[in-house]
Amino acid sequence: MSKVVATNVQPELEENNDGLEQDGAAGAAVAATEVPIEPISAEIKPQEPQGSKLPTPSGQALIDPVSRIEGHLRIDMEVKDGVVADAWVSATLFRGMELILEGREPTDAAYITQRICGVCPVSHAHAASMAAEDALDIKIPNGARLIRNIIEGSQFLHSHILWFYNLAGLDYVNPLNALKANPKKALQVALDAGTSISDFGAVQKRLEAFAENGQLSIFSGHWFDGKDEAYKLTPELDLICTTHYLEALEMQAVASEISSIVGGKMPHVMSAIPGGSTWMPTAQNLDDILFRAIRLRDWIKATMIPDTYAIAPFYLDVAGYGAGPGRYIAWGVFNREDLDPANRYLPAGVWGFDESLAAPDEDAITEETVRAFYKDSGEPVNPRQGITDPEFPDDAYSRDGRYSWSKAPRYNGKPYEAGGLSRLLVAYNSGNDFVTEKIDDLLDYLSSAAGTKLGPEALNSTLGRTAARNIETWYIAECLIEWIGELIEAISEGGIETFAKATKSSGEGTGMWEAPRGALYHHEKVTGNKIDAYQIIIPSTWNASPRSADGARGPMEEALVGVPVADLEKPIHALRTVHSFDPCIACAVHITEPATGKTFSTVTSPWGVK
Amino acid sequence: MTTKEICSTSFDELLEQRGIKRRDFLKLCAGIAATLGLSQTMIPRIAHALEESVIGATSGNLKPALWLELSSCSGCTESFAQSDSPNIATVILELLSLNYSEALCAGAGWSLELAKEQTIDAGGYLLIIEGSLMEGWDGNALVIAEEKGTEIVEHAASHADAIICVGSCSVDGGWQSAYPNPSGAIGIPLYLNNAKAAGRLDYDLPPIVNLPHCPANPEHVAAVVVEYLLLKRFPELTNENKPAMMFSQTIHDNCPRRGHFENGEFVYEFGTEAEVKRFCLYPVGCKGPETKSNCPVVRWNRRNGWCIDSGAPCIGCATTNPRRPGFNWVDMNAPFRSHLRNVAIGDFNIPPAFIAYGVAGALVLGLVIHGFGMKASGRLKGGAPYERERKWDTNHPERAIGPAKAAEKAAEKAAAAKDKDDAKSKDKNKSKKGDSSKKGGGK
Repeated sequence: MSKVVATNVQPELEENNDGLEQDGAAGAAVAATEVPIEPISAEIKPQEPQGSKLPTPSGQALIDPVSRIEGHLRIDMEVKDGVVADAWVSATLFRGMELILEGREPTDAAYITQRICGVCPVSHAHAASMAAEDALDIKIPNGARLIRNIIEGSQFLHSHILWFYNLAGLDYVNPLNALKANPKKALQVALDAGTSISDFGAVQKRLEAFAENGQLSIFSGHWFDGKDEAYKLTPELDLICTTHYLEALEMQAVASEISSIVGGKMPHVMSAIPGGSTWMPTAQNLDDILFRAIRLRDWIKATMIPDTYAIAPFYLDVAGYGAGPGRYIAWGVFNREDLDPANRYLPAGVWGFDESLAAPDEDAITEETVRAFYKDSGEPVNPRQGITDPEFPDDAYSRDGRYSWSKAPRYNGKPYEAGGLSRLLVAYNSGNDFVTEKIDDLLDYLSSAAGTKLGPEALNSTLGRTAARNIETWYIAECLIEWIGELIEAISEGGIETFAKATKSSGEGTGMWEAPRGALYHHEKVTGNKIDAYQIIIPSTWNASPRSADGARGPMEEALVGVPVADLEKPIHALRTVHSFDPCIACAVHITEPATGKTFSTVTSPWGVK
Repeated sequence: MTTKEICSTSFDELLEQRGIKRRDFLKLCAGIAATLGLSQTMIPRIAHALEESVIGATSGNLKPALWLELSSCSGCTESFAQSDSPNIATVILELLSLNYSEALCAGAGWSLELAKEQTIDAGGYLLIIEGSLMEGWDGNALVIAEEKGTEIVEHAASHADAIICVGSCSVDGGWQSAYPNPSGAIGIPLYLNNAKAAGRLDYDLPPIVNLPHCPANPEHVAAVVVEYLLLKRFPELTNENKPAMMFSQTIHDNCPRRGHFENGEFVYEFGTEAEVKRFCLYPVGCKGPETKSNCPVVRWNRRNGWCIDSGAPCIGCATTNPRRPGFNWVDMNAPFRSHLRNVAIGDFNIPPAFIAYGVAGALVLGLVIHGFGMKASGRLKGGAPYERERKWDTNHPERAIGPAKAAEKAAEKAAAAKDKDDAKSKDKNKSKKGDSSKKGGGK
């Protein structure tokens, strides 16, 4: 039934791939390759937008629940004359992870914190392990560093592929429109766009059979017919992207296979623990992960990147809205041998369009609860001293009152955006060659499509956030092959060490790392190998944060202001903007410390919790 | 207009509410058919599709299904997306009409809620539930589309053919119900049973299949769904409503490292030669021997790995007790690196070592006190008779057992003493006749 998915012929890119496969097998450094993108061909040139004819309603627009994200999110918007005037982003779930961790062991925390998120569990396991290593003075051996990079990298690939095609993709691609496509023409369009070709006819037949059956399945209640007329791809491009939607479902699973070989299973890997990794690779494991990584890298280069370039010209309007606060945080991810956060493959840094690059400062982080469902502590506090007490008010979700389970983290008192765009902008400004080259290429391409010169400010938009994440995917795929190469080399030179034991059992430590969705912060106090206090600040807490005391909107709320809305019931542009942050709300909702003076101890009674 | 208002109406009412006449609606469908480039004959079909299709009970070959994400991490959806036979694309296009899934559906907001509502009204769907329910703050810890999670489940279960609880959270609350259970997490089966017992449900509960594991194993979910579609029945279940085929044997029973366990070859430290040789992980806390699941056989991620293969001891994520939230896998198995847990009595949290030393110390102390008592009571010399001398034994010494032996001995001794005395008394009698008769009488 799903034969189409497996066939993926790439004649146009063959020689390109061959060369790279050898690079990969030898574990060579990241290959700086030319952009495989031709200028947009006449056939796929987008039509003129018909924005002027669209209705411009006023009123309330509500998206609840926001779908194709992780967790439960509610978006409330005030629309004035067809444009969002104000927005309120609410997280609608509370779980209380930190309370559950108290009294347990640091190793247990690495397992339990993963369960906060099924999309980025590896990042939580690593941040929790790093916090424990910082607290207990453990320095992980080089082998463990490589293993962590590999498993983290494969998770990033999994997450980004799934996000672009299967979560955000349906905001831009209308699979039902693909029924109208001419498969022959689609083949030509794909070749022109430099993206991978496949059996488009078979995919279309499959869609036809699906449509004829009459049930809409996951397209139930779709927004393809909204008054915004926001779906602009030609039927051929819709068919190509739908085909790649199905391929992406396959490729995200391939990425997870790497995580599974290294980490036991994915989601919720098992081998990442404080001190290093439990995994000792066999020769068979090594070739299993290497060739999966190469397959992924080739697919990303031949499909995901060209697709991004092919559909971007149709959605240049998406570059015109969704600007966040313009300030970015990245704690950095993927260690080099010196384990220095500023020297990571994606380095740590704080940067803004009107701020210069600075190293992150843990003391500058504060959290506020003035608009969240917690008793307000009066003033912003550093998470290390945070005091929070959940309290559900009677007037919950009111625009003037408290409206979210998410707290409002601030850096130097100001809202900052976290995520793929933040990481890339920090890397861009720290002089990362690969990232700089690809970002410049992207800006050149968008400039030529738009007809005006676009600078990096253009990336501060819904389109920029989306495109940046795809460039990052490419970079990580190249790095992944490099790390596996390093691991193979280290093993062939006489083996690796993967685990270091703790020499003490008490201390306080922080793990600052990146999840696919952005900056991730874990902090723990340990006494006698038992956790006294645990704090987590998640990327989506930064992005989906409610207002702070001074009324400053959270980054996602800020980005929603100015988004065009022609259909109050199906505000597709707002949905695109929310998706561009790749929000992960189950992560974002948690509390950072128990109520003042209240202590908890672990109950693991055989008679259960009374 | 709230989502709830929109969703609570029937389709016709909804059209009316929006000022759309039925004829206009059919026209709209014609427009959509044209947009999609479909023939005119498709129009009624599309009208039907938009009006009724989400329901799927009256037409179409796909089994309608709702995938509810409650208090979850989306990990079970993620996990199911890793399935390969059938893969997720086949599931959503050719097996199930997945009318509601927050993770995958193209729609959002009210239109997605509407699809769910219509599916529930039509009935005859599979209800797949991921994540636990939250009773905290009167259910306000989990609110989706202005409806509490608890209300959503009570409503969604009303017309379901069956409920499949995927993942440990859904089965018994999972890690979220671990102490101190700050949000009041509870598993679906227990919640629904409580609601039924409290008389809040006016329908009979549909059959429930529990698929624990954190996250649910994609092979398990695919097997149950596909078997249901093909054979029109659920697999045989255990008394905890888990498929017996999957959850009857322990992980230890089928573990590929079991041979090393039998040979006494163990990993005592991570990152050592023993791990390269894939020895048994029991000493580093493996919960395989007490966790029932067939994951060594089905493995994970398209059979490419499973926990123990990566050198990580099992943490028993399939440990559940759907009737007792306190028996969730975290409280039952943490600390994951040890085999003995702390025991909590009231507010006291007692580590196993303390209990071991306590019991051993109490035993030693008891023995010492006993010894002093023995000495004080003078039982150390010869000891006390542990059975009272019985009259019968005394009267029949030749047939006596037990204490009678003592009596026998006493008799012999007495006899010997008598002989001696007799001999003495004879001697004495020779000198003092009166004294000997007095002594003999005393005996």
